[in-house]
Amino acid sequence: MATKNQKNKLLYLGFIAVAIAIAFFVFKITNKTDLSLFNRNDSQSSDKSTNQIYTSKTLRISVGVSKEFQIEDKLIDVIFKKGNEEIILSRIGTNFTTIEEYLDNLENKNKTKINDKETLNYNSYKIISGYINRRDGNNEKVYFIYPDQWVVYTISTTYPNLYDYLDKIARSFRYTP
Amino acid sequence: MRLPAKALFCWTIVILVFFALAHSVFAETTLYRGAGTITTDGNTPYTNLSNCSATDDATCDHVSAPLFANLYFRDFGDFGIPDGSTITYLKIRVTGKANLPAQALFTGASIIGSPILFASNCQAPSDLWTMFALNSPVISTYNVTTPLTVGTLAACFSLANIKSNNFIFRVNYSKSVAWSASIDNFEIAFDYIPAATPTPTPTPAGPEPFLDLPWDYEAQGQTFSEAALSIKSFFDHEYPLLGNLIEPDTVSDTLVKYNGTKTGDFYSSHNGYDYAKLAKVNLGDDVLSAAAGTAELITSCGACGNMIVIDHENGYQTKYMHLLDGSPSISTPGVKVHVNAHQKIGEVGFSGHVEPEGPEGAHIHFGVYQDKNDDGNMGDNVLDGLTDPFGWQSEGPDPWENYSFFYGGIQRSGNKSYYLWKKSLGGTSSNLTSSGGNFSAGRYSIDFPSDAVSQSATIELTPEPIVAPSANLSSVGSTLLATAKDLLGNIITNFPEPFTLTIYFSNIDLSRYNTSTLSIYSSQDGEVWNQELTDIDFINNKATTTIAHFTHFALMAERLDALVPTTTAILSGEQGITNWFKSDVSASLSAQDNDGGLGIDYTMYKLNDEDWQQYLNPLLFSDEGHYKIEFYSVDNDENMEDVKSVEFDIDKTPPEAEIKFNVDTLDVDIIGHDSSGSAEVNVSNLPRKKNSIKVTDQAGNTLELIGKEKERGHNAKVVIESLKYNQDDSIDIDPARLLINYNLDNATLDLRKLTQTFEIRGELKIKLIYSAKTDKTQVITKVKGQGKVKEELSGIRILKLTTENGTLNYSY
Repeated sequence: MATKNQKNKLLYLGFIAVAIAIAFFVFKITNKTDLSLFNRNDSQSSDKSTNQIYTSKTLRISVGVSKEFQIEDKLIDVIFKKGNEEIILSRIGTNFTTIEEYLDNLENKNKTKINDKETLNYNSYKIISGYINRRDGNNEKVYFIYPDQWVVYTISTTYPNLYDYLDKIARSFRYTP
Repeated sequence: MRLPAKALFCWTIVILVFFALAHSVFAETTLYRGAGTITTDGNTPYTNLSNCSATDDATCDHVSAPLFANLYFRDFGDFGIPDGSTITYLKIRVTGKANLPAQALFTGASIIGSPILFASNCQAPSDLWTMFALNSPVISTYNVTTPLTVGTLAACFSLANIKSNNFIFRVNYSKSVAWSASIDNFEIAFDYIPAATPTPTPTPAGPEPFLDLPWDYEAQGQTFSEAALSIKSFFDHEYPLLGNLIEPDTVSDTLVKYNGTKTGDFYSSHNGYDYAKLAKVNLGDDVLSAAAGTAELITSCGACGNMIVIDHENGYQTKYMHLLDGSPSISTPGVKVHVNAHQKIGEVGFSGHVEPEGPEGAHIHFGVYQDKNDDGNMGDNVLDGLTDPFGWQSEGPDPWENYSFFYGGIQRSGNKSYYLWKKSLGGTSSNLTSSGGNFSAGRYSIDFPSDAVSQSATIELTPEPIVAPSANLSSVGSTLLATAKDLLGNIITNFPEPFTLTIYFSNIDLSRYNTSTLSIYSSQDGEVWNQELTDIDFINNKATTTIAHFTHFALMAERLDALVPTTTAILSGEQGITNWFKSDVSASLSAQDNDGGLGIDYTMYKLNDEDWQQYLNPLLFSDEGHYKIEFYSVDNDENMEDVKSVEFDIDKTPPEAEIKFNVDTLDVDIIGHDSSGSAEVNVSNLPRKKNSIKVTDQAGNTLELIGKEKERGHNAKVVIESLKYNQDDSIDIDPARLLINYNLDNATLDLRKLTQTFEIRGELKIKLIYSAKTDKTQVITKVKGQGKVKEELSGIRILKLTTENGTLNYSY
């Protein structure tokens, strides 16, 4: 049976413990704000799953990508690496008003053909996916995303092992102008 | 005592929950990885060790131990932490149970020491014995997060040690009692802050960056980086020979960008950069010169459309294609005109070949070329001089630099690309730890000793433009902004230990500077600069200072020539009154630099509304007209004089004269007329009772009328015998006589009658008789074959004799 004095001490200690806990929590909130001050072009945030959200301020996009990938932001491209295999996300400007016109012009200019074209609509973005038999022998799976006027994003990989990851990245694509 | 103990336990749990929540939210975390190897301290007994990191329900057990029982977990594999990252927190996640309800097992981490596995000065948590307790009798999961950013832990759990798995974790109990535990899924992860994105770095040892983007992106609210990277078409390092040779099939569907990435983006073989709507470059926007130089309009390249080419006189040339028809500031192909940096040279258009066709395809094609063989002729490097102003920013070899091709009868190789933009795309950054290190960007190098910082910091070095704090003092090449931030993003300006800053100047032409004044300067705000104690090493071409603060830095020196030159225009010719000439005019522009200056580099002039041109020889003007010459000179230290101007007129045509009676003054007026304006009339007496009436215009051209003039009462007689223009021979004419007779009203003195007679060699040509009474003028002319013809006109008519190219005519 605790004495009254012991109860008071207990309440006193408990009060201090709560105060410390609140102070620490406030410190961490502040710490979070400070972290954002780092001069970093990109950012990753963890969610509870195995995915991470990657945001590129330069390219003005965010995508969800498995934590298995290492991410290399090269300003004009982002490369998602898993071992020796990789997925490339890049951005290009265009004066064409539709994704179809852009691709027609691209096929003509680059003397290439996009096979098995499929028109998609993820997150209200006009998207065309397909496959390109590269002249170096690789079969590239590619998504062309036209989220807004005058800009086309391309997400592609030549590694069949990464096709599923590529699909997930394309589905998670968000344009953040 | 039981109640306080329980209460304290609850509060502890509350605190731990707060801790866990706080840590799990904010850090960037690797995947949790289990140990690949389980070892013990040699005490017995342990069982099922191989399953301790499994993800199933299997357990590893320490059945009992008398003292100092340690289970070691190691070999966690690759956490995939990017190079350059800063490790901030260690996370331990343990699932298991122990049979010590009133006691606890403790866990901790350590760098592997030799021969002792557990190095006490590297233990994490730092207070191993209180931070973590594995004491639940049922399988439970415990999480602990401990910071690694302070003290020795930052060094112990360095990225290198983590990558090499040079660390170990343990579950420990040191009391002299028997215990047992079941451990399942001993996993760890790390929070880390990735290194700032590797950003394009000006290629060291290259030419001084000198270019800016060819449009006013700042007016569009864009930073240099935003605008420069909003690219419509890249320079293809794989094969940038668009339109000149046939691209090999093997690379025709891909391009290699300046960062080494190979993609199928738009478009292969492109030889420059296209900027369009994504970069807010729109039809009709001003196209600006990327740097000063001599510009020329070229319209003969069909696909290029209207193209301005600027020779920057540093071995580089820039090209601006597809300019809007009629917009180029130079209207005539082949005429070379000096342009300043950021000067309008045309407007964004769609001339030549653009896609989509027409106004919708409007864009700027911006290309850079180098005079590779430095022979002053860009024409022989039109393909192999192609270069990428973003440089080559990949560790691998640049395919364009190493490309070999045959063109123009010569085997050629591609070109090395240097970063030529004056502004940075973001600077370089990397991490500074208490161990110190070297950081470099371009010609700048900073050496930090150990303990320059107590905790990790991010160092960022950003090249900045040239500064000139005063008329005499100027930076020698570009300057540097050095910034440091701690892990919380706070700016660090002062360091506990001084560091060494070295600025190399081997690629800088020092002939413009007083080298005895070379010194490193620093500035907090980029405005006010303070000189730092500097060692100058002219053998190794470097300047060094030892300081302990981060600011703007610059290598500066006094300029040998800080004064602008003076140009004077000298006009030569037969001059009349001020700046009126009656002959050809030669205009010389004489430029003089100040005493001790580096001499005149060039003089530019602009004639009337034509383009600016470089002055090389005196200018000769022959045609009559008004001329305005604007001019200025630039000395060899780039001191530019304000634009001056001189205006003059050439008038080679002599004036003419008009002779008539003035009814107001009742006198004969002789009036000079000239195409350039009025002409002055002088009358002087000549010998033998003759008069000379000389009419002189502003340029000094003259008409001399030789004859006689006599006035008596209300009669006047003017006789013209010859005309003489300038220095030409006199033109004798049949003696022409103007006779005037008039009467006045005696009371009012108004003109009552006026008779004007013009005779040639005594023969009447015309007579005008005016009567105020009738207010009519009777005109009597003598027409050949008809005799005298009379005509009556209302009002007063005045007879006028006028000279015209050596003849004398009349009119009324």
